[in-house]
Amino acid sequence: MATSPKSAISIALDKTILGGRRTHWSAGPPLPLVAASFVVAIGILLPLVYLILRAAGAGDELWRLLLRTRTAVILFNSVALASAVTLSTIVLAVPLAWLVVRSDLPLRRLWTGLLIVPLAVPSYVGGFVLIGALGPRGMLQSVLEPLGVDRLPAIYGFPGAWLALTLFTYPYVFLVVRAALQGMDYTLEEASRSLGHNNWSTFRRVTLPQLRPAIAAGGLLVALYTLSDFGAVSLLQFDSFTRVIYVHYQGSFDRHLAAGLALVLVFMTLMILVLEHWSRGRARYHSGNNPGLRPLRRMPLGKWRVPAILLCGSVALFALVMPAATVGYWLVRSVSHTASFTALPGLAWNSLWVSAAAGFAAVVLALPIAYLTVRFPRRLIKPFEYVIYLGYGLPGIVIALSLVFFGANVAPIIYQTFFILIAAYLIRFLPQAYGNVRTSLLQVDPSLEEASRNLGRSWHATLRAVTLPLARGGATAGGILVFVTTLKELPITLLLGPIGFKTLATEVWTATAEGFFAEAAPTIFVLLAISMLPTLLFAGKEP
Amino acid sequence: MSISLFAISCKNVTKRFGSVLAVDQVELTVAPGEFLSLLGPSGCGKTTFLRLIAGFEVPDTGTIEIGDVCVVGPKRWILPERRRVGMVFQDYALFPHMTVAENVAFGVRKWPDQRERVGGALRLVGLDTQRDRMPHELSGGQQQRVALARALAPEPDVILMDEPFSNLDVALRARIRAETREILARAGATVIFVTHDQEEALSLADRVAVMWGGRIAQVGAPEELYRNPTSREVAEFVGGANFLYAHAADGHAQCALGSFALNGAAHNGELDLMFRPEDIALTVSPDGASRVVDATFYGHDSTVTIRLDTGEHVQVRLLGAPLAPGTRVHCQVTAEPRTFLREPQAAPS
Repeated sequence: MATSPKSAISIALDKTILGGRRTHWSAGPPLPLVAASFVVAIGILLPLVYLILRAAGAGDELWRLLLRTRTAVILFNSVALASAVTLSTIVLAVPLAWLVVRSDLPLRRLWTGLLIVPLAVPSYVGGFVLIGALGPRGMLQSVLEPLGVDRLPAIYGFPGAWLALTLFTYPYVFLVVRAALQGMDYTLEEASRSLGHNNWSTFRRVTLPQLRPAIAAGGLLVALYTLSDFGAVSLLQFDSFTRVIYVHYQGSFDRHLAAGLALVLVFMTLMILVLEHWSRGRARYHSGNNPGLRPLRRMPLGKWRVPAILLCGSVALFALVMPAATVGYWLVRSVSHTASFTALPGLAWNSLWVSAAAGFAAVVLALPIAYLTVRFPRRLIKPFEYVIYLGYGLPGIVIALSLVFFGANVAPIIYQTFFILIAAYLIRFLPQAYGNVRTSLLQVDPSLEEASRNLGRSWHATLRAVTLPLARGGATAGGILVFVTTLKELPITLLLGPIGFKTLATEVWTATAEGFFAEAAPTIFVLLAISMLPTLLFAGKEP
Repeated sequence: MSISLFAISCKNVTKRFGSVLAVDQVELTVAPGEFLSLLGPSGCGKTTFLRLIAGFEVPDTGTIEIGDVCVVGPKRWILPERRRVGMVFQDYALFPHMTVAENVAFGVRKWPDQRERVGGALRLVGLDTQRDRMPHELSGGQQQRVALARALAPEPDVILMDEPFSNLDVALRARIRAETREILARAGATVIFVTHDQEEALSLADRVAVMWGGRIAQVGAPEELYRNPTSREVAEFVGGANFLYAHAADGHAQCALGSFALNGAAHNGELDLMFRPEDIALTVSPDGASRVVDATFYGHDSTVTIRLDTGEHVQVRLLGAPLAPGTRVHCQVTAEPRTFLREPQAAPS
């Protein structure tokens, strides 16, 4: 066997072929795509590296600041909130998922739909709902006031943050567990029954162990969301990392501390991300079974029918009816405030065009790396993929802060421009576009590209004539997904938007923070109206 | 077509995937206009070899020439799109977002005679009325012919076919095979055709190359290969084979079915003789030395297993219904056996 210089790359190529994947780029990956991937990866890493360097530059002082008891309190707060929310979403979502998939609950499809809808509510709107409904001067109090109740239990702080995040993140667990239940091989349950175990024993010994990876994956997703959430905790004034970072940044007296805290937060979220990745790998391993061709036999609920309906109903009441009622209540009250309507078209336009730009750019930038990972040995391209997925682990506030540092100190030309704003959106949301683009490319049979090469087209002509037209659907979906999430994004827009630039999201946050619920309501209405449908369309696809 | 003596010439082509030797020092020459079948069990390296010719894989060593152009060799690499090699993929790989005509036009886009070529190729395969259909609207056999038309339209020097009939219903297969053979003959194409089906290889090809463990075990005309296999593997792969222990002396070999003259090099000692199942005739007789022990009915023919008086078993093919197990028979050999050196594990049972 010849040992030519290409052997390193060709051995790697060979490994992939043995792994069941075929590749036809005999001369290695096309350089322009590799170059584009490098540029994207460096663009993502640069601000973060700069943040680390800056924090490290602060040296001893930073350690002094970080080692105060105050930091320990914040750490405790964040961990407590993340654990509490994760636990409560699991307790809520697993029975709900089981009910809609495996029981004879009436109107299962309707319940499924209703229980997924809260996913579309951004956390700062959740904050608005809790304050506007249950807070001082809120809906509930004004209803109860004639009855002599002039004080409600405090909604601010831990209880409010916990409630808001639980109500609007449980659908993550619900979706993952539901999918796992649907894909489960239920002949295992029948085997258990035939071996003498009753319903409950079967659920505990057979069903639940199989669901564990899905529960872990969903729970870790919720934990990650909670740790990086800014909207709910800042509105409900709970001192977790993101709020304290923002306060320190605003106070601007010690931005180093903000940077240091941001790095601690990144460390925590990255750890969760690693856990999530690990558990998801296992989940995939577990769920390969064929669910069989026979129709699923649903478990009769019997006397549990009414309690089951009550459970679904009360979740829908708090996560769906209460938000709708709160927004509706304040919407009616806002009719007299003409001021809150005149600004709406401008806000909506700002939100729409920035989000559209981010969605489009995300697809374009995701394409080269997605193409390389699909057609070439993962070992060579894997590092690029990790860099892209970094966005999942970086809370919006951290990305915003690192770009503020980077822009202000290194690249003042782009600081407070739309360029840096959209760059921040891209770092945060590129993984979403990437996932979709990659999936759609995976569905393009490599032999189609080989056929095109064989018929005389070069690799880039093949890309244009065959691959991209076939992957267009998935790429568009990825773009829409990024569009919607950007539309709802808050902390990055707050910190990096050019001076005077307001979007629907920032307006909801500002108005709610200052107690102007009647001004926030129409804005929320428009925001949800734009984002609801696409969010729900993607609900089934999202991890 | 090229004016050289060969359409394809491969020398010492080797391809390794990690520790697996997929293609091992393959030497093969295909004459212009020839229809060569590459026959082998799955995993023998035949598809890899085809992909090496098409340029989808890089060989570790060796040279490949197509026409008079060296496409792979030391410090030489021609991109797949410049090789003038047409390929019909196992799953056809028709572009799902293009019509039949657009698929066929794909390889001749912007050629001055594009329209005529597309029309000609579609007429050749008998699909000129289906040109505006989408691939998924066609039957499996029609899709296969579109793939063929698409590969033929640019008039490549060579057509490579990777198990093109394996996705077709058994009922369709025989007819489509014959049609394909005729279309390719009319186009005058040089064809390398990969299959694991010995019947397909033997019935279609001018020459068959049997591939085994990455190597070409034997190349020859179908009858030659069937009658005179050079190894046990080839003998067993291209058809049923019975091996019987024989003792050779004075130019004759004595086995359970009689004595046979040894042609060529004289050999004394132990040998194996190979008989095809259809080369043994049976006569039912109550005092026959052999006995039917098993029988399988296939319809137009059947196979019976015979236990000989030596304890050895042979398979015999009969036209029509089989004989019932237990029937006593006489065996008579109707064709010359093929001689093989003895292998230790093939002791009389």
